[in-house]
Amino acid sequence: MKVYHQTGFRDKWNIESFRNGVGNGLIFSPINIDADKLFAMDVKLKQSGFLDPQLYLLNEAKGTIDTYPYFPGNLKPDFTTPDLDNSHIQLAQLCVDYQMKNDFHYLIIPSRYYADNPTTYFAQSTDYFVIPFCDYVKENKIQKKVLLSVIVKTIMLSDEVKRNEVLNWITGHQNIDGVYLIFENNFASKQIKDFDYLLNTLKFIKVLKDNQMEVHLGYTNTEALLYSIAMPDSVTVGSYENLRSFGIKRFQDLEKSQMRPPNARLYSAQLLQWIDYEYIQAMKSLMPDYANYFDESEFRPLMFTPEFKWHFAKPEPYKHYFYVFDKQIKKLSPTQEGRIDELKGSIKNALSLFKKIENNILLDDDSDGSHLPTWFNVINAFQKELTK
Amino acid sequence: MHLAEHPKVGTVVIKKGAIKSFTSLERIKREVELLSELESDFYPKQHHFNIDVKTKEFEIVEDYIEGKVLREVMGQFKTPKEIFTLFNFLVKGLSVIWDKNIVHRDLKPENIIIRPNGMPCIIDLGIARFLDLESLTKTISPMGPCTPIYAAPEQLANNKNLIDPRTDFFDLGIIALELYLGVHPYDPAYVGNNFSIVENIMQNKYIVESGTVKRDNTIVEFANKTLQIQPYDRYRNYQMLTAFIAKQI
Amino acid sequence: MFETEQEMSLMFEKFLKMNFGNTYLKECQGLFGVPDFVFYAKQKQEISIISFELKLKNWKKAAKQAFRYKSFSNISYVVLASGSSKAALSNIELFQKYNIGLAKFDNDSFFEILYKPEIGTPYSEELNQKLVNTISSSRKKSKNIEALV
Repeated sequence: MKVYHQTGFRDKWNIESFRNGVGNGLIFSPINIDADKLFAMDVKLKQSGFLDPQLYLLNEAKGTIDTYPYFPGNLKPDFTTPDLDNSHIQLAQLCVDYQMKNDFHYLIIPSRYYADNPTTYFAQSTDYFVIPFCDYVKENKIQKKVLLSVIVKTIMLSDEVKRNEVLNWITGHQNIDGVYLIFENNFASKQIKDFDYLLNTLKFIKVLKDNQMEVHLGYTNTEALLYSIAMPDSVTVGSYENLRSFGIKRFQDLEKSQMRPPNARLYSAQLLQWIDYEYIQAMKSLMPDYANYFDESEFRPLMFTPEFKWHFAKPEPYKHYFYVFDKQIKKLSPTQEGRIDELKGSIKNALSLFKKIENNILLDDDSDGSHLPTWFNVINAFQKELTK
Repeated sequence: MHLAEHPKVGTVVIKKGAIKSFTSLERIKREVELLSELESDFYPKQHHFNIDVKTKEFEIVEDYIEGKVLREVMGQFKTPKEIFTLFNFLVKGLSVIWDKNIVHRDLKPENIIIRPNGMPCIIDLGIARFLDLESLTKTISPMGPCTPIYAAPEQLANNKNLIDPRTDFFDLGIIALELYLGVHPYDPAYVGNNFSIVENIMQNKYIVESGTVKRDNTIVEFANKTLQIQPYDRYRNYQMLTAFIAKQI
Repeated sequence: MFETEQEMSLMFEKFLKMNFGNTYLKECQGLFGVPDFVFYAKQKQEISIISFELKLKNWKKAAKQAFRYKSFSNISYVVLASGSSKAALSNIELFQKYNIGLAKFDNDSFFEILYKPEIGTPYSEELNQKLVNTISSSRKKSKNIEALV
């Protein structure tokens, strides 16, 4: 299973880590990087990854996305949905051309996002994006693999009719090799603790894999380890939380976007959790062996010095995460059964480590292991599904 | 439908009928054009196709194919090997239209001619897209009160968005089982309930063995992968279908 | 009983002022969590910090928040509306285990300490120092601090 860097703000950290051998490639973000700048980038950084076209809101000019040739506003000012009738072929061609120019590994078909669920969504997506994109690829005998980007909304997981609709739609496209799949995350908690949601995502991935499609999961956090038992082809690592959890707000050009600076947190592969650095200070005071709960990396020695000023603008905690998580994923068993057993073992181990910590520290709901029992139950439930 | 002698091409079949569905006339016209260009031994050559929008009638003129309708010679395809060998050719023939994004929609033993050389020829390709639900669920058959049905759940539910080649795969699944068992797999008399064939299809209730015929694992595997309610649970494309069939022969 | 946490907070503020002095900060931002009240007492060169987390009912949530305040406080208290203190009392071992204070408060300004924790060293020197720097210029005086510590 591969690990891609979900780049965004501070993509420099991802690029540096990738250059140092962490991760299999980079997913580029048009709202964060200028089209010309991306084109000028070393092709070695691009050849193993891909571009997320980010036409989720069609014509919202957030950040640098309007520097891209396929951005609808560049075809016609005040571009709206009806304009797609006339421009969908041109848009598809420009989108393919730009991606080809950069020699990305995959070509990505864009996808739109709607807060509600219009009944014409799938038909329109097929007509405006999938068909013109695939036709152009075929006409030009392009050999690259094509992935369809799909945002899976929570209702598409919980509602059987909607779920069947989206799965039949995805699997019915014959000219795509797979999907760039993003599960929308509207949870208030930092780890996903919803049993039904998690089980449904695993079943969703399984259907696509049974259809022999490539499944690349975007915007994943720690739950990527759980998703691994459904055998996707890749997961992602992102720095800030909005790159590890998909929310449409990131793409909205909000005038007064209230950005609360995040608390610095450190990922622990043993604990399967991100721990707020203030709790690490508490652990340091109360537990002499506190460092053993965190993984080794070239960044750890610096972070654990008393002088280290924990701050979200510091790269070390994030580069540490990229390195540690990439290693954790790469160590997973190549077989489904193996992964299931391993993950159960990891969860049990993490729970016992949390017990030791909680002898001294009263962790809050976002730093504790309260997500782990649910994950364990999800694994068991999914195992039952596999034997059906 | 009647036979006639065409001065140039020989024996032809002329089919006339009423069009019940106009919902996708453009698509129908496009498909008809593609079909008239088909040069394949798996299909009769189409000489003439006309749709009269005013009278709401269609007329097809195509070559008459020598041979026997599959319904009449089902006994020739009883063993899994015989069935899969036939299907190998059938799928090869169907892939010609599937590649053009055309779905047959009306595959059944009555629409497959077995030529004297044993090769199948698929007929009635043009008609299916004009038929509505009512026509699809009825067919003239010697089986009496229980009318055999060869329709996938999405056709029975009239879910036009879901009709793609996987719909034809479902029909192939029914035919395969019927060839093997000698009876319609969804026939309530054999399933053992009081529902109709249509209801059994919608509920996914079918038999894989009868009193006289024991189950065969390869037929069961094929049936279970084609007779799924959701298209996404079936073979995704004909290449996967072909790969399975190829392994059996 | 208190209708809202805001009502409880206003009453508690009056109570603090009257009994312990003006030496407090309300809803201090930029620390670890947002304590309802951070009370400080200067004794010679040392500054002691006592944090308070007020809650109408949810004692467990309050305890988790109060624990956070130990990063910058010497003592941290959960203050529950009197009517809900029973549930917390039956889980007093949790407060003992984590050395978190527990008190109850009602709208007659009746304040009772149910568990008095030991004074401790804040876990985060940096956060504590940040707070101390904010406070050190203050000339306000506290009183009766022994009742809390």
